Amino acid sequence: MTRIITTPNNTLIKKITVACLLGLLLLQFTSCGIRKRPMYHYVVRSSDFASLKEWHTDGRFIIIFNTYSKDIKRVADEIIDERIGIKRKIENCSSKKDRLFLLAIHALDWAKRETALTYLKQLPSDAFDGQVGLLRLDCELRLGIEQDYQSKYQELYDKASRPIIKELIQIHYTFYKYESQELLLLPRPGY
Amino acid sequence: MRAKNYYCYLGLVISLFLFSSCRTSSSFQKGISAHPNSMEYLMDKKPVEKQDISLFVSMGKENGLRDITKVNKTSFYILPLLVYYEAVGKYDVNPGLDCLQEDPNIFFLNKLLEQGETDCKYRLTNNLKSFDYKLDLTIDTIEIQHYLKSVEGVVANPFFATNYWTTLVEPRILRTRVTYALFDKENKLIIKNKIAVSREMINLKIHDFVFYYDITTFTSEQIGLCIKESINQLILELNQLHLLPVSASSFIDEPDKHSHD
Repeated sequence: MTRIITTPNNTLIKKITVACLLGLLLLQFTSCGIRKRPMYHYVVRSSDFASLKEWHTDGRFIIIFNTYSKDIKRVADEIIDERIGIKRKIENCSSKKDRLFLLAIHALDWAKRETALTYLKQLPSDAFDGQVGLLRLDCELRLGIEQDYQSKYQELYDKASRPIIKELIQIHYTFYKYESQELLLLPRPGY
Repeated sequence: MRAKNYYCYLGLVISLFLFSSCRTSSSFQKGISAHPNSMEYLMDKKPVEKQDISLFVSMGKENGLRDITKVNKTSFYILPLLVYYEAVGKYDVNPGLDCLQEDPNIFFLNKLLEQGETDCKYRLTNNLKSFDYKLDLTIDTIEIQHYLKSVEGVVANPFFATNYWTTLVEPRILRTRVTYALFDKENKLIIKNKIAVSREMINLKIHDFVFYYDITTFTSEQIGLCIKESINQLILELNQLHLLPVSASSFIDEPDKHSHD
């Protein structure tokens, strides 16, 4: 008959083993975070863009300029703060142009690119400092629509007059360069 | 005796499992070569007023890049623990032409002609039939080298087992040097100069499943940006020259003298 004798040393070993396992679990979860691909759109105020672009190197940006309407700024603030019931507030916007842009941003926030594209297509591509055209390209790229993206991005870049918009296009273009290769490799995911 | 054999086999199986994901230099090299990428970039166009003087642009065939990417393993170690193992490999990568979808010389020439349409005050052409001046370009060197650190790990415990792989690419060298020589129609040298560009690059953290795509995209992107800077500098220098139409005189006016006049 075997007797298991529990000594203080055995308890210590058990504790160390459990601690190691927990540590490994933690390590595993952190490594999962590292492996996430850059795919998101961040809505930022123009004043925060310079600092946030250093932090969020894993995503594209939509910039809300001070020159935009009060409705856009108000709803964008709520999107940034991740509040709920945003869609109802968007429906209350008086301008159709603002409403469509906000609906597209909201759809992108939920990774609904087809929906976003239907809203964006109703706006001229140079609207909102050319961001409509830029977001349209992002959606089309992720939806696998074939076209000459290089010349489309170049066209937007040539038209952009503000340096901040040029920088924004450059960021989106970098994602295009990296993700277009990835898209060849992977089945088309949602997110 | 049987128990001893059993442990030997078990040890062999565990070793095979541990080392199965280890990468060799040649497997890196083959993976990179199989996924070439484009050097395309966005051009910063600054339109200028055009003059009716044409420059025939010709490009040499040399560029200093090796044909095939070379990967040298500098160090490798394994941390084998019971429930966790990690393999860390360090490599020097010298990218070659196999990383690129385009030939750098042809790409440079096409981009120069494209950007020259708006940015250069002279008409850049590759039409040999009619031109006023001749611009000979040579890519003397494209030097590029990355330091690559690959970390592969396996976590296995009674609850689950999984593996991970991250790679850090740290660019070490990226330099290009282009020589241009401008001749008149009688093949008399007007000006000869070198344009050297070196870029400071950011590190790149790569995720496992797109590894080869990312490394070749990164390499081609950086070479493309070097070419972009060289072209911008070349156009700037060409715009500073004061060439006269051949029909009037094939006289070149120095920029400084011209401004004094």
